[in-house]
Amino acid sequence: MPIRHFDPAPGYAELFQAMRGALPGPADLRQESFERFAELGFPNLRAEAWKYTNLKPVAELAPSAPRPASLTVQDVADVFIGGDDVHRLVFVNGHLAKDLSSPVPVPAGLSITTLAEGLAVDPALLAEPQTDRALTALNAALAEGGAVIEVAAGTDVQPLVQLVFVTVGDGTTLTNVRNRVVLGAGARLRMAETHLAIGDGGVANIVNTITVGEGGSLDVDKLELGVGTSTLLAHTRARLARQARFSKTTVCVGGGLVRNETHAHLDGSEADLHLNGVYAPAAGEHVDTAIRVDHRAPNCESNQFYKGILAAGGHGVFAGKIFVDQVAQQTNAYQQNDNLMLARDAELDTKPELEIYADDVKCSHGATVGELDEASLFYLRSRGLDQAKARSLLTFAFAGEIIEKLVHEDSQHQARRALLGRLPGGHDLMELV
Amino acid sequence: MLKIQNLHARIEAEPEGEILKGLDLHVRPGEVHAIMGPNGSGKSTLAYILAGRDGYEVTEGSVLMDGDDLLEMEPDERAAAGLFLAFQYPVEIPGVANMYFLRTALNAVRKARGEPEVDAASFMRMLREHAERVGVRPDLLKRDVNTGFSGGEKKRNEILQMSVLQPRFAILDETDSGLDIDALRTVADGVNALRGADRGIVVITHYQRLLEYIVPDQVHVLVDGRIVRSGDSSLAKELEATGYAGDTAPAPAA
Repeated sequence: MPIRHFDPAPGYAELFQAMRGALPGPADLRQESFERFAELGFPNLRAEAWKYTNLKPVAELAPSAPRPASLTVQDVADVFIGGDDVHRLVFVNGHLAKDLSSPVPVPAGLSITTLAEGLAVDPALLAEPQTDRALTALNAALAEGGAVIEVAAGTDVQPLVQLVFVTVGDGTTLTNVRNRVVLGAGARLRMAETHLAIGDGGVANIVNTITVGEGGSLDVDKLELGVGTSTLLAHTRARLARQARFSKTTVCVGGGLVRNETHAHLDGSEADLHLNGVYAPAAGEHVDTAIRVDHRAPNCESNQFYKGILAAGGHGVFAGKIFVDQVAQQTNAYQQNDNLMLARDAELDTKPELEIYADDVKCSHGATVGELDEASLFYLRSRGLDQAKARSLLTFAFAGEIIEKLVHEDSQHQARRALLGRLPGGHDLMELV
Repeated sequence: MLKIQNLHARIEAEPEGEILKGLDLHVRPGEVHAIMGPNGSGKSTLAYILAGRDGYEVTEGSVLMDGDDLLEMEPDERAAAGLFLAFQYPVEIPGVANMYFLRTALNAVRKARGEPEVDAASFMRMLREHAERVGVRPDLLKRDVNTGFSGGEKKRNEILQMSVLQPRFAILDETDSGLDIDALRTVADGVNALRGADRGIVVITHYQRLLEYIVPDQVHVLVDGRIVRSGDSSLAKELEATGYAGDTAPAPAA
C-alpha cells in the first residue's frame, strides 16, 4: 500500500516536549492528540484531498515555539474592522495581546473568553471535532490561543466581533489556534476573522468549530493577508441545526502556502449555507480551497461561489464536494468556481465533486477558466487607460461580485485595498476602495 | 490633421484576404467627413485600425495625425493624443461604475497631456451637465459601464464619453444604427456641439439619415477597401436614392 503521509520532522516532538508543561487543559488529551498526530503524519500528495498541495515543507520544518511578540497598535490597526463598539481580540503568535484588543464590555447574552478560560469550563473542547485529520490532532496537542464565543438563545448581537491572528517571526514559528463559536437557537452574530503575517510570518494551524442553533444566523468575513513566506492552514467545521444560517466570505490576498478547508454539516432541515471566496495567489504563492458540504436533512440550501485570480507563477486549487444523504430530499446545492488567468505560467486545479443519494434534489456545479476579455481591454485602452491600468481595473472588477458579499463595509475596503495593492498600477486605482 | 495614404490592411488571422486596399483620406481641422459604403466594404476595419485594436495588420501605407505616425502608438497613447472612437458595439464592463470609468478616462487623458486631474466634485458637476445634454439618465451614471443598457442607451453613453473627453479627432462607427429618431437627434446634437475649427470628425454610416442632422463637409463612398467616390453632402442624398450599385471597385492598379 502506498504511503500517504510525510513523517513529521523530529522538531515536532521536541516542540511538544518543550511546550507541554505550560499548555492549558487536560494533559492526557494533549498527549493522546500528539501521539495521534505522530502516527498519522502530514498527508502527502497521494492523499486525494492533498493531491495539489504539498505539505512537505511543513513536515520538514524545525518548528519554533510561538512566543509572544510586542506589537503596537500601529502595526495592526490597518486590519481593524468597525468602530469603538467592536469586540476585538488580537492574538499575536497565539497569545492574546490585551493592549491591542478592545476592552468593550460585552452585552448580555454574549460571552467571549480565551481558549484557556474555555478549557477550564469544558476540558473536552479540544476533543472536538472527532476526526482523523492530522492537522486537527496537531492543533489539539499544541493549541494555546484562541477564542470561545457563545451567544445565548434569542440574542441578536449588534456589534461586530473581530478576531485578529497575527503571526510574527522568521517563518518557522508554529502557532496553533483553536476557536469555538456556538450560537443558541435564534441567536445572531456577525464576525470578522483576520489573519495577518508580519515579517516572515510563520506557520499558523487554525481549527474553528462552529455550531449554529435552530433559526440562528452567523456571518463571517474572513480576510487572509499573508506574505510569501507565511503558511496558513485553516480548518472550519460547522454544524447547522434546523433553519440555521451560516454565511462565510473568504478573501485571500497573500500567503506562501494557504489551505482553506471548510466542512459544513447541514444537520437540520431548511438550513441555509453560503460559502464565498476570492483567492489571488501571486508568484510563488499557493492557495488551496477545500470544501465539503454534507446535506443530512431535507429542504436545505447550500451555495459555494469562489473566484480565483491567478498571477504569473501563482497556483490556485479549488476542490468542492457536495454530499447529499438519502434523507436530504428537496436539497438545493450549488457550486460555482470562476478563474481568471493573468499569465501563461499561472496554474489552477479545480475539481467539483457531487455525491448524491437522494432522488429529489437540485444540484449544480460549474467551473470556468479564462483570460481577460480582449474587447473590454481595448475599450478601456481606447479611452486612455494604459495596458497595466486597464488590466488591473478589469481584474479588480472580476472580484467585485465576491467582495460585495463581505458583510462589513470595512472588510470590503480592506479586501479591495489589499487586492489593488498587488495588481500592477493598482495604486492609481485606490479610490475604487 | 488626419492623413491616410494608400492604407492596406488585413486581419492577422486571415492573411489571404486584404480588407483595405489602398485607402486615401485627408481630414483638415474643422471638417466633418462621412464615410458610407455597403456591408463588408471595410468601414469598421478602418475605425478599429485608427483606434489601434489588436488583430489587424497594416501591410502598406501610412496614417498621420497632426504629423505623428498614429500606427506606431498604443491605443491609450492615441486617446491621449486626442483620438476618440465611438464604438459600433460598446462593450459592457460589469463591476466598473460608469461614473468612475468616465473620470478615470478623463484623468488618464489629462495626465498624459500634462494637465492637472479633475477632482471628484467638479467632475460630477461637469458630468451631470454633459449627461443631461446628451440624454443619459442620472441612474445610468451609477450603473456599471453599459451593463444592461439598451442599444440606444449604449450609443448615448458613447456620445457622453466623447462629450466629456473633448477629443481633437473623433470617429463615429455606425453610431446611428439601432437609434430611434429622438436618439438620433440627441446624438447628432452631441456631435454638432463638438464641431469646431480645430477638430476633425469622421462619421461612418450605412444610411444617409444621420447626415440630415450632421451635415458633412465631404462624403466618401468606400467599396471593397477603397474610396471610389467623394463629393459634398449632396452625394449622400444621391446614394440614398440609387444605392451603391453603381459604385463598383476599380480594377487594381497594374
